[in-house]
Amino acid sequence: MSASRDYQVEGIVIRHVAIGERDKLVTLLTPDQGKVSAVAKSARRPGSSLGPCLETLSHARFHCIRRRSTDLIVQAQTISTFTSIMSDLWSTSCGLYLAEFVDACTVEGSPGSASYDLLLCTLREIDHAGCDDVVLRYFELRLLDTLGFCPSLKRCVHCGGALQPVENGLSASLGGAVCADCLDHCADARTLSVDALKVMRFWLTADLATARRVKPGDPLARELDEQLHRFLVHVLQRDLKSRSWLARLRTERLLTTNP
Amino acid sequence: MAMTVEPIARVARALSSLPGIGPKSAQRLAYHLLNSPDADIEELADALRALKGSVVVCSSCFNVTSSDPCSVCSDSQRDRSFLCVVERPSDIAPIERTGRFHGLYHVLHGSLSPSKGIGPEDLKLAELLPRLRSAEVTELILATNPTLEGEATAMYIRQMVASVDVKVTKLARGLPYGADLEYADDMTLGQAIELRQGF
Repeated sequence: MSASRDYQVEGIVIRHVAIGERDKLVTLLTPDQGKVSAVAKSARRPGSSLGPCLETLSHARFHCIRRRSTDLIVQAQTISTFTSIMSDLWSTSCGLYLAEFVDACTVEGSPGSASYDLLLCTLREIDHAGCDDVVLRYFELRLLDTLGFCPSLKRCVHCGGALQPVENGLSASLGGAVCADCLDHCADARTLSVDALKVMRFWLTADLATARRVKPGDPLARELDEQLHRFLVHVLQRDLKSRSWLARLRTERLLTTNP
Repeated sequence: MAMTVEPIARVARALSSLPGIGPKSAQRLAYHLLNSPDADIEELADALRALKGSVVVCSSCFNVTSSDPCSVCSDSQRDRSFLCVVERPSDIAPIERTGRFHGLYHVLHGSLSPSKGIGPEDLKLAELLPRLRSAEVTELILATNPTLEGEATAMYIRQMVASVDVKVTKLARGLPYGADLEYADDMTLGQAIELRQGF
């Protein structure tokens, strides 16, 4: 007996592209099936009930039909609306950055429950309390952790020795922290302060609300930003386009909320 | 393997480069053109040749037009105190069809899209400020699409023009005429309730 062609799936839209005259190809992050692509017919037609559920960052339940090629979305019902994110340029840009990061890090068909929970929880937090550096860095680190790319922060990845509470290093190519003695032997390693190491270790064990209680000063925030950025560029083998947009918004100070 | 005569294959290749036309549709269209009367083919060829040669971008509003300035910008009857910002030249026609707007336009030629790397310098945003600083404009109407990118563009413009003494408004969001409330999506219905007006 063949499986039903219809199925329902909860998901967050992380990308969409226009196809044809009125259709959309939508990429969803779902808890059960990970990243899924599906076509929504006539979704770009004015008055389409599908349209509002298919915008990036929409959180909805989708009724789909399985097809030989790409599945078809035939109905959608909004689960939650991130109105605060949608009405603020900085929050919208941060949301788009998270969506682009998830899209770049994940492949279709691999399990997505942890990534989905992390994205949903982070979007809810941004919608509720705005977005700052801690939220972005926490998300980057936790998503890398979820996908198995987390920097190893327990022991030196070069010699295996215990990390001392001194200035160590972080190597993207070796995949984690290197001790002070091995720092010179790792070409791409950058110095990692004790505070940065502690904060990253703490983020890996704390939930987002707890993580936000730590308010790193400017130098520490910059160090965490640079270290994690180097790490994710190494993992993705490219940079994320929306990241430069966030930097630009900061520079131009075109912000409605203080990041 | 089926062989296609080179002239037909050439037309099919050219047609398949158009958005929304795949190789099979392109081949069908190529055979359709082959069977069309010579006069129709001549007319199509002339129209395509004239497309690039006679269409220019208006130096004032950046709409596509056959003459610079365009018919809207050169119309002395238009109300120059209203400036409506749209994403694409094709957005102007539906607004004109309503017959409710008699001001001028400013075409951005896109919307901000951080994940696609489209920033303000890729749009006609820098050209907006000088137009607003002219004494005539009193209201800037943001008619970007009600999408995340469109909203981001509108918010960026609002911040960008904050220093200019001009009223900034945005198109209302709500239920389309003839719609059934039962099937309205939550966001549209929510905005319709939020932005309800006296009756």
